[in-house]
Amino acid sequence: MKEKMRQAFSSLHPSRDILAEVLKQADAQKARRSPSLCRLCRSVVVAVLVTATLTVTVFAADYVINQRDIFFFDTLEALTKFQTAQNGNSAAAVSVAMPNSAEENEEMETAQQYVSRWMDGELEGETVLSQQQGDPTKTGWERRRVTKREHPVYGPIVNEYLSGSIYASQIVVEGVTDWDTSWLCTAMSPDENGQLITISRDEKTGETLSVVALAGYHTAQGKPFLLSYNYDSSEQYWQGPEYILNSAYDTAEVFRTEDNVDVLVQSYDGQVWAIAANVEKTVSIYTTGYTVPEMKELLNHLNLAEAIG
Amino acid sequence: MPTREEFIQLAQRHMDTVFRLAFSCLKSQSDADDVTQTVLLRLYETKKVFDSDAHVKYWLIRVTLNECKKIWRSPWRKVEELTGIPQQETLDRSVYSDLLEAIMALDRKYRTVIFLYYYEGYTVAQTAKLLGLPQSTVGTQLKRAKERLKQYLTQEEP
Repeated sequence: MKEKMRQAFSSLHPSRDILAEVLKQADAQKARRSPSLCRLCRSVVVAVLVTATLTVTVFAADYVINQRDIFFFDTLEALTKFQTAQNGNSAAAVSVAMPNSAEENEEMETAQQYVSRWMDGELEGETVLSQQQGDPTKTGWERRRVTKREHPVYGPIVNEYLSGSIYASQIVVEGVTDWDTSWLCTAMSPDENGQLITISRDEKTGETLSVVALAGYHTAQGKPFLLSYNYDSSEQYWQGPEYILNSAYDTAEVFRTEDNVDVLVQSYDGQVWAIAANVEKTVSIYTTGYTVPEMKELLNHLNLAEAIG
Repeated sequence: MPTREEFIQLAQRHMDTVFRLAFSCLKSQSDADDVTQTVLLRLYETKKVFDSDAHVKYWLIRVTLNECKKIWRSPWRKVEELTGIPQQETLDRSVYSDLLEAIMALDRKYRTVIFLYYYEGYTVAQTAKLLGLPQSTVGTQLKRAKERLKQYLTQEEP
C-alpha cells in the first residue's frame, strides 16, 4: 500500500521554476535596502506590469473592470485554447477557478474566528510589540495589537491590528480610505467581535503599505455576510486577468452600480460573490443570505466609488 | 539563516514534498505552487537552527500546513478543478494514477493524513503531532480514508 501511495504522489511536481523565483525574491529583498536600487526595482516592476497588461489587451476582454480584464468562457475547451494562445502556445498550466459548494464552505472561517486568530492567536513570524484594550468612545477600536515582522516584499514592517464594532459601519484609514458602510448596519446585524482592520506600515518611514479590513454581519434570516476591503500599495500584488468559466457558476456577470462602479457578481449553490477592484484596492463580498438581484440592490447602497476610487 | 548554497541543496531535496503536501491539502496546482514558493522563502530567511535533515523536513511540513490553512480559511477561496488541468506537463497524466485521483476525491482531512502517513512515512503519533490532533482521531481518519479509497476504486472499475 505504501509503495503504491508513494508512486501516486510522485507524479506531482511544481509547475514553474520555484527555486529560481525564491532566489530572485530573496535577492530583491537584499537590494531593497539600497534606496536607489529600490526605486529601480519599482520601475522594473511597473514596466513589467505595463508589458503584461499590454500583452493581455492584445486579446479582447469581455469586460475591463478598473484595469482588470475579465474574460468569460462557455466551455473549458475555449478557455484552454485562449490561455494556451496567450502563453505563446506553450504548455503552461491552464488556470481556472471553481467555486466551492455551499456545503464545502460551511467549514470556512467565520468573522469572529478570523478576528480571534489575529487578535489572540500566535502570529508566526511576528513579534508582538504591544496589546491594548481601548475605550471605543475615545479610540474607536476596542482592542489593538501591534506586531513587527520581516515582510517578503516590503522588508521590516509594523502591523497594527484593530478590532471594534465601529468597523461594521465605517472603514477609515488615513491616506487610504474613508468609506461609510453604515447602510449595511441598517440592513443586517454586525457580528459581535467580528470586525478587524489590519494596517501594515513601513517600520522606518511609517508609510501605509497595506490595509486589510474584514467585517462580518448576519442577515435577518441568520445568514452570513462577509465584507472585505484590501489595499496594497505594491504593484507586485497586482492580480492578473480573471478567467470565468460560465458553466462553473449559476450566474456570472458584470454589474454596473448607480455610482458607476463595475462589479463582478457570481453566484453558485446559494452563495453570492461580488468583487470590485482597481489596481490597489479591492472590495469583496461573500454571502449566502442574498439572491443576485438583492445583491445588486445592496451594491447600489454601498458607495463603492468611494471605497475603491 | 542558511547560505545560498545550503538553501539550494535543502530546497532541491524538499521542494517536492512541500508541493505534494500543499497539493494534497488544496487540490490546486497554482495554490500549491504559491504555497511552495512562500514556504521555501521562509526556509531561506529563517534563523532557526536545525539539528538534522529530518528536523528541516518536519519544520517545512508544519509551515506548509500553516500556509495551506491560510488559503482554505479564506471566504473567497476557490478550488481549481483537478479535471480542469488538461495536458499539463507538470502533472504527468501517464503516471497520474487512478489511486491519486481516488485520494484527491477524498475530503481534505483524509488526504492530508494519507500523505503524511503513507507517503512521508510518519507514524500515527508523529502525524497526530504535526496536525495537532489526538492520535485516536488520526487513527480513525486513516481507517476511514482507506475504506473510502477502496470503495472509490471498486466503483471505478469497469
